[in-house]
Amino acid sequence: MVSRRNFFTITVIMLVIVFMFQIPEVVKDKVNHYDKNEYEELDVSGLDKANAHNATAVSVERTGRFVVFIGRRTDGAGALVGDWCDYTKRYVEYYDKVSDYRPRENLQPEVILVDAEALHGSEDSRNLLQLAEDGNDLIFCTLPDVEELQTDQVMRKLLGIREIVKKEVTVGGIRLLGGFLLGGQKDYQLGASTEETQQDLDLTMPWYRVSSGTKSYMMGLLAESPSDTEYGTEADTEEELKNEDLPAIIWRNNVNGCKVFVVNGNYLKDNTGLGFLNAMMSELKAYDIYPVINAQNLVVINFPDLADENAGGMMERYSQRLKAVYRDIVWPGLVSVAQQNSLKLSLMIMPQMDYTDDVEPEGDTLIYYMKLFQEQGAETGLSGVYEQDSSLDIKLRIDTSFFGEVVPDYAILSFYQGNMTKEEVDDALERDMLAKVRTVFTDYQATRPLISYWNQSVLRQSGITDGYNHTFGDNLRMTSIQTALGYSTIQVDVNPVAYPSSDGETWEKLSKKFASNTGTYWKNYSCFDKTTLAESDLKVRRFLALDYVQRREGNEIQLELRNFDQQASFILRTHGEVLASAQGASFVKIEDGAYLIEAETNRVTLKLEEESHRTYY
Amino acid sequence: MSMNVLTILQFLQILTVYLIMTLLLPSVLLYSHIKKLKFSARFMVYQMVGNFYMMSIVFLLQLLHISNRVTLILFTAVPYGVAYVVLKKRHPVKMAKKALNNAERLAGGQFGKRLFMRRVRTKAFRSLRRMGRRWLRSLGRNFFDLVLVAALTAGLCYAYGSNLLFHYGYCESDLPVHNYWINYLSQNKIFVAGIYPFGFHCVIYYLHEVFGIATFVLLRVFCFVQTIMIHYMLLAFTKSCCKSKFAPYVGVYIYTMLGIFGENTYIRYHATLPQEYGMLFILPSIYFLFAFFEKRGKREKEDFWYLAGFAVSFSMTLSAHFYDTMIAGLLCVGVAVGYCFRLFRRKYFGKVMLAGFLAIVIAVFPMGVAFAMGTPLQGSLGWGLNVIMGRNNKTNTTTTTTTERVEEDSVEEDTQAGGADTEAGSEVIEPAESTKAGNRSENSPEGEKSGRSEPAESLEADSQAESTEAGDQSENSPEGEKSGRSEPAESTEADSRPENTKAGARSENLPEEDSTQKTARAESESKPGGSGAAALSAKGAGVLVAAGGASFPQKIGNVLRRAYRGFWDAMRIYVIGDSYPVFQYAVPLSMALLALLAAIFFLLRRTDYAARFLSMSAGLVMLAILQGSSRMGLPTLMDAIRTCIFFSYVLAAVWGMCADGILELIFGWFKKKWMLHLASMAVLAALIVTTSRAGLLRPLPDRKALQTNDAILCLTNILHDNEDFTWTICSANDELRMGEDYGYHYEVHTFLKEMENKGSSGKIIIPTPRVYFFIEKVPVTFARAYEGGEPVVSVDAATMRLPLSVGISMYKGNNRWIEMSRLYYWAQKFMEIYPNEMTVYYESDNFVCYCVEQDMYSLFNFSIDYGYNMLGTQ
Repeated sequence: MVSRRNFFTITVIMLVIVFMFQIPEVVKDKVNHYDKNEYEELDVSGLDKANAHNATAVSVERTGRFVVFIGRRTDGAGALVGDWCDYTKRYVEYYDKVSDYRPRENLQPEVILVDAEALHGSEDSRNLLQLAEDGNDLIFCTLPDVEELQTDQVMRKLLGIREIVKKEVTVGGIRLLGGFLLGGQKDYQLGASTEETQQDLDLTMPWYRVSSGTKSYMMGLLAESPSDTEYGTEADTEEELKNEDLPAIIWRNNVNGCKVFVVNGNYLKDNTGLGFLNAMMSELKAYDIYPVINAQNLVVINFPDLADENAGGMMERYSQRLKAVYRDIVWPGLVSVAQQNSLKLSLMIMPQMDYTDDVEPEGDTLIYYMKLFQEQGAETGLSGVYEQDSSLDIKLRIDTSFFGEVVPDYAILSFYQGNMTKEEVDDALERDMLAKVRTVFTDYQATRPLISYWNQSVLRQSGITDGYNHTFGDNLRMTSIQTALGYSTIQVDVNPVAYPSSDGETWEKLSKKFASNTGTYWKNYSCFDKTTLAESDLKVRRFLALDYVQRREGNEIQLELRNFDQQASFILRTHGEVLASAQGASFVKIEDGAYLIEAETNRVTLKLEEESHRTYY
Repeated sequence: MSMNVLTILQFLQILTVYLIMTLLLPSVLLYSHIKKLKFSARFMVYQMVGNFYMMSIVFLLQLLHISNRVTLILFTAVPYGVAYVVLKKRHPVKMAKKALNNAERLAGGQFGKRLFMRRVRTKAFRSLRRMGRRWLRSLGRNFFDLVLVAALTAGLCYAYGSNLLFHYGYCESDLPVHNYWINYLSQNKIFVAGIYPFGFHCVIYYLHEVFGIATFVLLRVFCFVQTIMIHYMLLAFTKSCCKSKFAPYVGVYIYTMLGIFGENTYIRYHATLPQEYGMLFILPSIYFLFAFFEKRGKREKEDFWYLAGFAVSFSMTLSAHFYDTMIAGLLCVGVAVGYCFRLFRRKYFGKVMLAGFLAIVIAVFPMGVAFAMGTPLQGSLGWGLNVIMGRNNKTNTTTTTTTERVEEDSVEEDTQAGGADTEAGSEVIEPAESTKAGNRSENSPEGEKSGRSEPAESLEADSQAESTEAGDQSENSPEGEKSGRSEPAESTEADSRPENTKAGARSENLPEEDSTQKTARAESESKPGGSGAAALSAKGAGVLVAAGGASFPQKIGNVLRRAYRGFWDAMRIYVIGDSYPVFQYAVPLSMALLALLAAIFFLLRRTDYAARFLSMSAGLVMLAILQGSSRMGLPTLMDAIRTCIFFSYVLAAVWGMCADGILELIFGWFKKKWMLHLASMAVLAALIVTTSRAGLLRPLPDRKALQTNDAILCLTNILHDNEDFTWTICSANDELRMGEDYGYHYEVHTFLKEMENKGSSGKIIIPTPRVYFFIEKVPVTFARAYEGGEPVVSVDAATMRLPLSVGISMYKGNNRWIEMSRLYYWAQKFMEIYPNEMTVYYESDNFVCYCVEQDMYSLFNFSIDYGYNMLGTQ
């Protein structure tokens, strides 16, 4: 028997416990403003295309940042150099031919970039050699044909090619040495822990053996023993091939104290070349400082699908409906990867895939997810993906109606282009629902700028790597772009989970790859800020608007920023020096000789010290 | 931390570990058994035991090829523990049982923790108190002794220790080869260059291996430790022989603090050399003989231990260096004279002879085993045997006419310094020929051998030819004219023989040379036929023959006069210069006085005391004969320049004994000894005051090293900053052996030669992440002075042809200037090509060290066209 007194006590305790558990949930629910986009408060006023900095010949006098490109402006290398100059605030002059360029006494370029397609005959070789001997550093974005090099001794001397071992060799992999791009040494060679599909680099190239006075940054790795007839020259069969004799891919030669960078391959023809150019500039100087975006995004597109679509397929694969799969399987997986890697989620909602069927998106589901996103600090955007049987207009109308009904006050700041054309996106951006969009997120396109203004006020950011498939080429690109911009965007499309195109596209397999790729390849870049698309949008706008002047006096680097808006990021590359202190900025070491600097004022002073302090004196 | 502070700390560390091994551990073991002996005698015993054990254990383990840190510690600790149990009559089983019982009771709660701790505390406190009282009592009794020993130590710090702070590098060219031999002990390769007395190397190796002190640090700093010990040993020996307390300090004071002795008598103390290490055991061997004879066989057991002490000490002289054995042997002859009235009795003679034989067997045994196992003799041993067999004299005479060319040849035949330049191998001449050449150069008359002794590095080469030039041969070279930098003869020769440019050049390095010594030598050598020791030898022999027509007493008189003249000349040149005539006369006088005092004390029936005096007097006479042997026409067993080191060392003991003898004669009659002690103190004080006032104190040392301080500084930092074997130093030889256990070395000459006339078409790959280049902007004067004064690296020198010579000669004189200039301009060009990869690691006015960092997967080709290497192709 329970006494009344005890009964009363037990009841009180139970009530207290109930309240204790319920109150936090209630409070959490009350303070969760899922219907408001917290990133809307980020102030981007005054940061639009009109304010983006464009270097001019006039600005060169102040900044000294000026390069010359010899080749066609619209070609791969020319376009790349144009983008690179935009990002590094350099003024670039284009010349179609070597003979067109006339050095000016009062305006010497930092470097002359050369596209081999613009070279015609030995006269150009001699002219380039003369330019180098006159004190101009050169970057060969591409190389002339190996046949031409065989006959052109002047060019070989200029490029530092001691010997053409073979006109064409297929290497087993590629080695990128440390200290050039950020992230340390990388061997792009298939091994026990890699899949064959990862190797997508161009492994066929001429085999050049470089001469004394050169420094190699990237080289081919032979797949088999050099004694194998496929590779071995007669001399090579006698002794083991040394590292320094491996096929050179990127190297630096010295001509009368001037540096000539040579790229044996197509690495400087698309966005992959951005970081290489920065790294080469850093190698040219005793130190280099350049602005970066400093943003790492994880963009999940087409998640969630708010309509319970493809029920048959989902039951067949997962024995659950789409709603349950997304809620119980996909979402926890996404969150765990994001948390493990301290990444912020940007989710591009796809209200429904098929606008022609009767299955409609559920408002409760949207609210449920919006609350979860809010708790995770994620940003919610809209995906432009839809079943092509329908029309864009229908999609936008239905989506507008749906969002207006469920979360009428939520400002969509990011929009995923999906399979829409530019015109369709332009049309979409004029709709009320998307009127506040700041960033159009696009898939990666090698020859399009990674970041640019879509229109006067809307920014374009593109994905850089796919979360599921990380090939060697993807890794090289990511490494290069991290070096150039401190920027990366992992793009994870969840649509294959609902609409798989092959047996391999089940979530358990996709999530495994996604988790391992994300956890592996981004480790070296943990110092960069983790952002949502809206946050990186602000950083990119600031980055594009920024201009700067730097000068060094003794051990101090003075940095003067123009168009500075609260915050700007830079990467400092040094050789044998360490960054001891910074005024007006904070800094963090990325790796040996590389620092990420966060400017907090428009005047920054960096103090360098010699790296080696001798213990005994 | 400054390098000076580091050096001091290193010295303290080495001194501490050495004293632990040679004083603390033996004293813990033996004190209770020899506490009746005077402290000075105990000190000698401890030193003998400690050093002998270290040597023996290393010899044993090396011959078994199991020598490493673990076995060395094991073979030290276990026998020590056993000896402790046996000698202290402990019962380890009982002790273990008792400890176990205590632990059980403690764990079981029967024995309270507080009670246990109180007992431990009480026991420790009582032990400390007992020890403290004993120390205080001892301190009280020996207060003045302690003060004087402290003063002596301070004086040694001034006279020798300070040089460690002025010059960090090796002060003798022999050291790299000793370093090399010791390095190979770490690989269980004893006698790596052939059989040689390895006692010294064993001790250094032991300290290196067991205590983890780098060998090159030991070789830099241990010299001062051993110098301190040598002086302590001198003091201990003199105190053992003297009656008064403070008279022994007289000799030690004069020897340590006064600048009357020629530089050659002490200059080698600035380097860690086997001969000086072996000096530690000369006087103890004599002391043990004294003790044996004085015990007169009262107790068989004591007889045994004294003879054992003699045998072990004598064997250690042989284990360390043959010269020490020769000196010890000559002093033993003196002892035989002094104790002749006992020696030839049956109960002494056999024992002494057996002990002597055993001493030699003990020392020779490891070498014999190695020889039986197929290890050849090291080159200098062959030379030593030649001397013993009398063949050397012939060579000596024949080389009297040796020209400088011969010397140059022999130097050229010398092997590559540090063995880095393998091309030398192709130019090495046949072993026999090489040996001859080596001997010729070594035996060449005064001044023929210029500069420092030839580099011991040559021993590093594989061939016999190479080894004959090296190391101790350079030390063992007869006719002391094989000089060190301070060898005085050359300067005179430079004047008398203008063609001898080397000697002339070297004289420029001797600004401090005693002018009287120069004059004396100039006089002696300007005499017809008297310019060389060998010539003197021939002349002397001629004099003896010419005297054949005189009567016998006249002959004897002539011979004695010539002998005395020969000794006097040698003494003036090598021991005490003409600036100190009083001290010069004191040398023969002290010999005579000691003999006279011996005679008096014999008459006074103070037989033992007198015999000691007579022994030392006779011993000194023997050394005097050795000192002047070349001038007396006698076979030259040892360079005069080497003999003078031992001569002055023994002379210091003799002077102390003379002072003691006189005081004993005056005050020894009193029953109370305090008057005698007081008088000895007064004499010492008077001497100190007088000599100080007369300005006779020795100036601060300035024994220059063969490396710049900057090079040692850089090496020390490189070792500290980098992991082992991740770096390479490209320098002129010296760092090869210093860093051998930790990294790699590349010879400057090889480096430059490989890109000569090749430029960028050549290939020089150095596969370590960091490569350091040591460049002397003001090249070091190494063995040969520069033509036209001290140079700096210049275009003029860089334009000159790269030296074709091999061996160490490419780093001598102008060759070094050319090499350094070439390397300097190579570095400038390389830095232009790789501005970010090559940095200045350290720079001073005289020296610069560049560091090149390279990726191990893409090594730089260091062969470039720096202009001067391509002149031959233009």
